[in-house]
Amino acid sequence: MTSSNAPAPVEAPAERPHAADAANLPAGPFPQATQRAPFQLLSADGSFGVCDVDGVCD
Amino acid sequence: MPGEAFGSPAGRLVVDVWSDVVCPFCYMGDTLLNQALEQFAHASGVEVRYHSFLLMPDVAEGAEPVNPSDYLAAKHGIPREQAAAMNDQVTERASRLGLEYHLDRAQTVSTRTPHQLSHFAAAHGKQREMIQRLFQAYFTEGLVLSDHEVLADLAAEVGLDREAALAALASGEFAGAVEADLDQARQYGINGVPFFVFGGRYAVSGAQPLELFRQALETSWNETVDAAPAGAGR
Repeated sequence: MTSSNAPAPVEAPAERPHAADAANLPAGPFPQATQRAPFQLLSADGSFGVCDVDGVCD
Repeated sequence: MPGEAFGSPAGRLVVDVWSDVVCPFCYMGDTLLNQALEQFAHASGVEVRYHSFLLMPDVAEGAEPVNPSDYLAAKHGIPREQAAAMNDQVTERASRLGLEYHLDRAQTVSTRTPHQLSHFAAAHGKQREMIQRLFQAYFTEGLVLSDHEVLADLAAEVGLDREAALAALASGEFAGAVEADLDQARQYGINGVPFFVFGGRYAVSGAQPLELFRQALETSWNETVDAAPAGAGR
């Protein structure tokens, strides 16, 4: 519900590509975003903007 | 389908979104996704599906509404003034996207019921409109989103049948759909929202910069739609 300096709640992928690399990603198969999900997590520098189940928004 | 994600019909790109209607960054993230879609050449071929997530699962159904600053102060044991100041930062950030937040008068409730309305709207082809109306109702207007009459009014505003919406909420017809979404989020390890999955391949966590949404759309379109054999679904 609000902002803090709490760590980002989403599980980190083994390797996060920089946003600038997103358009140049190779054709699959792709690294797993989490150990359970079949997608690759894209990220960027700067603002993150996630709210977690503790009501903390970072 | 509720609880089912990542199935993309041939020639279309599906964006699956986990969010909660009382999540400040979900409203911002949805706005950024919309902006990216407005700039995307294949926007007419993109389907956005919203999945339920409970940002505050400890808020009981039927509990009295509570202001988000009071909720946060009580939950984390911080002064209310500190919680309110933190919410002011969120409000300022939303304003940069043209969104008008009034968290000082927001009324936090369990969101299981508005999530049911979202699924009702999805069944009638109005889920995006419904979600956006629910965001505005909570963040800007301070409406109580657990009130069936309030929700039915909002449903009517986006072109849904008011009485049918009331009946669906009363019967709990879509309660199972909400639970299925929550189960799937747990299965995928999603514990923060908004969370976007493009074409079942690329995920964006949070209200990230617009450019990242644009890249996610371009890349996933190229790899899941353009690259698919003619007439093939996923």
